Amino acid sequence: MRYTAIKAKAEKEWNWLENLPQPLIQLGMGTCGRASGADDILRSVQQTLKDANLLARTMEVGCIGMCYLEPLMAVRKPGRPFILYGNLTPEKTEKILKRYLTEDDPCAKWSVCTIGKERVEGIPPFEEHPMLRPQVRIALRNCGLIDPNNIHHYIARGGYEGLQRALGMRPAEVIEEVKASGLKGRGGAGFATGLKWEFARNSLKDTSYIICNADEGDPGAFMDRALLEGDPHAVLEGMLIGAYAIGAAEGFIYVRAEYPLAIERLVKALADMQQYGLLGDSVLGSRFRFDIHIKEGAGAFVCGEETALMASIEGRRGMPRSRPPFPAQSGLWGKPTNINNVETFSNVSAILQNGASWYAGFGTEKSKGTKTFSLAGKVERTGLIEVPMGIRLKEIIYTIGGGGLKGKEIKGVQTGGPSGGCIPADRFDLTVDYESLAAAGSIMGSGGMVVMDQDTCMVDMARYFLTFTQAESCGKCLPCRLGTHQMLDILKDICAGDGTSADMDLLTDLSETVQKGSLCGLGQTAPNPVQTTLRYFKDEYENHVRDHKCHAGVCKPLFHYEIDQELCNGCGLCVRKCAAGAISGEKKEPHHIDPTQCTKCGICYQSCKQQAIAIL
Amino acid sequence: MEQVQEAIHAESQIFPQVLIMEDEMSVAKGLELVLTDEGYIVDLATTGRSALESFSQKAFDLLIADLRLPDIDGIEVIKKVKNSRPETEVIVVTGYSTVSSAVEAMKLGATDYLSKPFTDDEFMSAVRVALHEKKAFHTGAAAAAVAEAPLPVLEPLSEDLQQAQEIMTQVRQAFSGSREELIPMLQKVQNHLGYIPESALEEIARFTRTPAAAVYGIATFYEQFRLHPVGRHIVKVCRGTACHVKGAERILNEIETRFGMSPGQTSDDRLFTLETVACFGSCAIAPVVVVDDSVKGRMNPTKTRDVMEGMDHDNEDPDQQ
Repeated sequence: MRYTAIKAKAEKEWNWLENLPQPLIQLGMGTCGRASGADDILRSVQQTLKDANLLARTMEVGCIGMCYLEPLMAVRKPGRPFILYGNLTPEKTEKILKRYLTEDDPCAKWSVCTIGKERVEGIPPFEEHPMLRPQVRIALRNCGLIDPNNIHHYIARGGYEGLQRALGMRPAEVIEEVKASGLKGRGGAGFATGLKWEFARNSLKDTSYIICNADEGDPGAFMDRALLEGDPHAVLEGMLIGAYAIGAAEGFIYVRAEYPLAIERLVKALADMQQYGLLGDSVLGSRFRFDIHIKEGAGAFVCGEETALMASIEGRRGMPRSRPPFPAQSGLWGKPTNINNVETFSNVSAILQNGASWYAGFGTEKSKGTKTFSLAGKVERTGLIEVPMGIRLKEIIYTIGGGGLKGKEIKGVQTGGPSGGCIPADRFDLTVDYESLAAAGSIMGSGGMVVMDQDTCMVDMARYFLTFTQAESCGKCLPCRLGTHQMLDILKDICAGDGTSADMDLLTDLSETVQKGSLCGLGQTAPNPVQTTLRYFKDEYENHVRDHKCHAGVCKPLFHYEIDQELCNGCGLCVRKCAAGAISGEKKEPHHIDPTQCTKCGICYQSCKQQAIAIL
Repeated sequence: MEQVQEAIHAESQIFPQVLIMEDEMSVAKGLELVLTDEGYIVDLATTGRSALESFSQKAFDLLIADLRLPDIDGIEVIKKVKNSRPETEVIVVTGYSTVSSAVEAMKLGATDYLSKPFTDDEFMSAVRVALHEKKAFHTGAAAAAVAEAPLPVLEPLSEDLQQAQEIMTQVRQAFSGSREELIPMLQKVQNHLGYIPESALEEIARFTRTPAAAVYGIATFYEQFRLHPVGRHIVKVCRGTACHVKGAERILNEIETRFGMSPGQTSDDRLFTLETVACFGSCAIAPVVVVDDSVKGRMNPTKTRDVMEGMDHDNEDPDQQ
């Protein structure tokens, strides 16, 4: 099918949807939404519409990024903007629908913002919401706004325009365009995408492959999942453009098995593409031939590394090998192979659609464009965000994220997952780009951002990340296999109160060995969390080692809870919450904790409204 | 250590070594082809002496013995082999069958006696029977070892094995048997059974013409695969960074206290298996617990306990009916 014909069909459907004479109800049905109860909300919507005899359409959308408000619903009456409602319960949903649809009360108190050109009094528009104002959404341009299962929605919003344009260019011109945009790989290492493509194109043999790396293994990162769930075509289009540029006829998407919904969406998207001639022997009527296969990962973090990933696709143990030869020369089954990350491909389709100079207009001198982050941990507003490169960390954490959870003081932020580092709050002036983050000892990584507050112990965090990398080390390189093990043992000792001051030097020493002696990124970056916490939070290590104290109240042998006799009002809440029966006291009199009974589970500390429970 | 023993044990079982003692090269090559197609490792010996030589160097699971050889009598070879390596199974193949030679061979412990010509199927079924007996020998030994040090894992149920066979039939239809399909095949079996039984592992090895040891290596490399049965419900606690920061450890402690299982273990009533997962990628609603396939966000120890106890209840009713 010709692009113009498809486009006309898609626009017709989109216009119909835009001018729907009935109310339209959109529900966020991504994994986060479902986990927060979106299925119940959908049922409640259907039931309410039936009971009240209301005519309205419902539509599933992906993640809009405001995960802290899940489950979410957006309601649009004809001629009005969408009004987004969050933190829904089935009861609340019923009330909103009845009041807004029958009595025209928009229930402003439960609303988050409006989406669309028009305004509704008393509700801030999308663009002015503090979480969204600093954001620039390129990779996530359609997430939460379209039905990911409907290819027409994607096309009507400019989808596959980039591919159509690319097919009219010579492959070398496409590569030039991507080079000019300044796009760097968004999977973590930040290698220039256009250059990578050029290498693959230059080593052109009879066959070559293109792979989309959707093995998002970093704990704390979920951008790729949200993108695949919310707008799969944006990624697939980028993949087609890449394949055309390097001359690949076959592509693979390697997705984590932990992302069943993303896989479901991809299967549907590929079927639609097949139907519209976007895959197969003649893509959009051109001479370009291309097919895509989905490969499910099997739960090995190291398979995010490109050579390990290829071994896994070939059906072998996912172990990295040394480079060179680079995949561009000898990759999958020995053929030239190009691997890009999910977000990179989504940017590619936008770049080809809007032009390289448009894209290069965002970001800094050296780091162009935008980057998605999954903001999680101890901040008020957790979610999926996309910001221009060069934004300051504090803007992300305090403006977008809304500062510490329950007003608690933020201690630092971990960027780049277990390969990254902890950046302390006093350095939040730092700009977010590849160069500054590296200078601070961390990395951009794939984009996980986990915020830590006063209740997070940094030694425990280092121990946590080492537990992860130690378990995920494939075992090929000795420094990584045994080094991470030794480092973990030392950190465990420190957390148990058995650390010595010599341990810190030993950790530094081992860190260097593991970094230098490992073949792949896993080992080379595994010591980062230890090194950065040692650099920025040395006092916490010293507290553990010298004073045998964990002020954050995490390392159990190094603290105990006590009730402040002045602050306790004897409400008895902690007595009811305590599963160990360790708290006693007369009503309205200060209570006591029996240290021999206390299991240090922390429930009393979390639940006390007077904040009378202290960590000592 | 148990795992290592298990691995060695599994390897020798899944990966049978066969010696064909046959002076007619055409027959020997034909049998070799049939056996290697099925995933066996095959050595050839054209004389009795070279067969004995091979046995002095390594152990074989099965000896395919011709009786008429250019040097020594086949019966003599079988005697010596059975003497030095009694666990070796023997199948006699001969063109000059006589009742007396058959009786003699059987007395020496051969499991079958095939007279030429025979079909591939007849041959293979004899091989399977012989190796099955050998397996019984092994499992007997293994059972004794288990009695000494019980493994903290569940044994497969017999209906599982039957199901495994059915699934493998589906697998054989759905896949072509190429190497890169190995992981998807393992995934398919596990999706149906919750784990990959040894028989399916062997079958996949044969289907993909990959040594069973390599298949075992792959299955143990990837976190996803389980080689032992699991409880009726699988509870996965996410240990991602966000979940860790928000108290995933406390949830694990609660499950351990209430249900008496730590990660990787199954409750005594086979109702739950507890696992941890590196990250589910639902960090914004941490901590996350996944019960079977339903993702539950913003959990805490009490909520987790309630969910699990609720499931406990759900399942009692149908059982009683």
